[in-house]
Parts: sequence; C-alpha cells; structure tokens
Amino acid sequence: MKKTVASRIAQSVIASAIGVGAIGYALRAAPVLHGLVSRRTPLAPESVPQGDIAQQAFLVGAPSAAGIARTVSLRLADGRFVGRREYAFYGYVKVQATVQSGRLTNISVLEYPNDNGRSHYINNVALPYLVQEAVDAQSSSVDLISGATFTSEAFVKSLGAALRQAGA
Amino acid sequence: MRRTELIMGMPVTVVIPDRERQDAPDGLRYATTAAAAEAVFSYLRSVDERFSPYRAKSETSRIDRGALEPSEASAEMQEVLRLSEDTRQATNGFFDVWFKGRFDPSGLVKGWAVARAAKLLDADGFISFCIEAGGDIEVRGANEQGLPWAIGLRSPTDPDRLVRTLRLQNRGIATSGTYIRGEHIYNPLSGAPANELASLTVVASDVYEADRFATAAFAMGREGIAFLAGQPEVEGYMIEWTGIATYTPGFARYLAS
Repeated sequence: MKKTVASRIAQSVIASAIGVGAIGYALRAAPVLHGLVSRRTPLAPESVPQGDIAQQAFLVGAPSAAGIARTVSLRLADGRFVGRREYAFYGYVKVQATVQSGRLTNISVLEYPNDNGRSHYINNVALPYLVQEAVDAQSSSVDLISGATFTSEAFVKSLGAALRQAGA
Repeated sequence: MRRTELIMGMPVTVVIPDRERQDAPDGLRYATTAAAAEAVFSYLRSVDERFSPYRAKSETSRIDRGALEPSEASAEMQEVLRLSEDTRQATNGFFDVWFKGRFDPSGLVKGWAVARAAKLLDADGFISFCIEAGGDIEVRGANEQGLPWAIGLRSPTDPDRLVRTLRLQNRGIATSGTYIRGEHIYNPLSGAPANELASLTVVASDVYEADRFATAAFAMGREGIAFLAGQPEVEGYMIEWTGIATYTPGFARYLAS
C-alpha cells in the first residue's frame, strides 16, 4: 500500500510539477521550492543561439532522494529563449526568458490559461505562482491541529486525539 | 488552560495561556481563563440550538422545511443569511447554503460562530488564545511559551499524522476535506460531489474568512487553489489524493516545518 502511494507520488511529481514549475519560473528568477518537487521545465531551444546550454542551465535541482532542492549556479548564454508550452493543470503556460551578460534579466509570459472554460477564475487575477510539494507525514509537537470536519471513524479518532490533548 | 467539550457534534477546544489572567485588574467579566472558556462553550451551545440542521426546533430546520420565513428569523440568522449571500457572490456560486432545495448554512456558521466567540474574549481584554471547533481555529497572540501558535495540518489519509506545522498569530485557519472520497461537500453548480481534493486548508484574517473560503474553494476542485491565489489576504494549501500538495505563494510564510 505504501509503495503504491509512493510510486504514484513520484509519477505525479514528474507529470504535474512541470507546468507549475514553469509558472514559478515565470515570476521568480531565483525560485525556491519546498520539499520534493524541484524539477524545472527545461526551456526548449526554439531560438537558442548556442546549442543546448540553456537547457542545461534551466535544469535547476533535479529531484533528489533526500527531498532537498539543490541549487545550481547558472551559466547562461545570452539571448531570448522560449519555453515549451506546458500544461499547468488549468491550462497552458509558455514563457520567454531573456539573458544578458550571462544573467537572467527578464521572463515574460507568452501564454497562460485564460481562454479555457475551466480556468475562468484566474482571468482577472495575476498569474498565480503556486508551489508544489510531496506531502510526507511527520510527527511534531503542536498546540492545535487543523483538519477537515470528520464523520464516523475519522471523527472518533479525532475526538480521541482531542481528548488526549485535553487531558494533558 | 486548555479545555475541550463536545458541542455542535464536534470537539471544541479553548486554549488560553495562564499569563492572560495573572495580575489581571479587577472588573473583568471573566476573572479566570476557565470562566472565559466556559463563556465560549456557552455561546457555541446557543449557536448550536439556533443553527443546527440536526435539531428539529432550530431555525435552520424550520427554514428548511418551510415552517419559518427567512425574513422572520432572528437577527443572528438574518446576519448569517446576509453573509451567505455575500459569500455566494464572492465565490461565483460555489458557496451556497441552498442545495437541491435544502437549507444548510453549516458551511458558514461554524467559522462565523468561532469568530464571534473570539470577540467575546477580545472584549474582555484577552490578547492570546486559540479557539478550535472541529479543526477550524481562531489564533490570537502567542502561545504559553510566548511563541506563535504551532498549528499542525492533519494528513487527509492518516488522521493520526500531520503533514505540516504552521506558525500563526492573529489568523484564522480552516480545512475542508473528506476522509472518504465524494462525501460531505458538493459542487452546487453541478450537484456532483467535490472529490478531486483530499483536503484544502485556508489561512485568512480570521476563522470566518478561512472557513467560508475553504468550503467554497474545496467545492471548486483543483481550480480552488488558483481561486484562492487571486483573493487578497487569503492563502491556501491543497492536498490531492496523489499525495501532492500545492500552495499559494503567501502560504510559505506560515510554514514552520
């Protein structure tokens, strides 16, 4: 059971993080992600003047077993680089990066979800920079716990936990 | 001081640091932290009497079966109806106390009632306290150690475990979710169960705001988190059944671990 969940998480990280990663990149030149999801969308060389340098440069922090985002210093080729059109779970995102003197100086969003019937909520708001991570159960000392309102078994479990705390 | 009672069908917990009533001046309404907690419980019991959909004599039940015209209900119910309509509009119809001809304002009343209970303590000079009802929490000031309150996010797949710890001061937090897929919250526009998400936690300026936005955004499914990202002073943390969490950028400031 645990194994199944873990592999589903891994697949989902690969499949669904990409689009959101692209959004994150669009708004932050030096993105920091929490947890396992640290894979970036390589900006595909649609107009790359010098081979695949850009592609290497944008592979910041491949997923690591320890779940810690690694930081890689970037050596960028000057030019403008258009990213692949990536599915961002409510539409598509495509960005263009501008590099001058080896540094990322601008990122413009060429396409973001605004013409899809399912994405009407974000029409009038700034492109949201959402962050993803794989959740991992932890134990920790806390004052209180936020969770959904429970029914049946879950409710009883919660109540037991609440009462144990109440007795503390 | 920490006390838990079962009210409105759920555990309600009040936590107040002991320092709040040490060297307290005379003339306060609640001379002890325990008296303040009892006032909170008492208020929430009165809300339960009036608003519970499970009590035949409650105003909610009478409105539901057509025995009470909403316009003739109590001032408190009028306020809840007005807030419900505000919320329905703010969420493009995703929050609606009327569903398939039935009336149930529970999705709004809990947060509203806890926020009102907190005001009872505000009015008596309390700076630091937490009030929790069924996982929705109003958080004020600092905990017993003088630190921001540590609030755990319960794992939707393992209710005994936490997935994150938040540090909060003067905020409200609410989580919508199901422990069995497809239960509990419906998309009022389609009538279908909202079952894409395992849980959705919202932190906002108070627990009323957090509760109503959590309920509405949960019903939106995966789009809910983008909806929250567009709301000022509302941050969200969504967990899907896949075990992947997605959160709004402003949520990061609350994450402790």
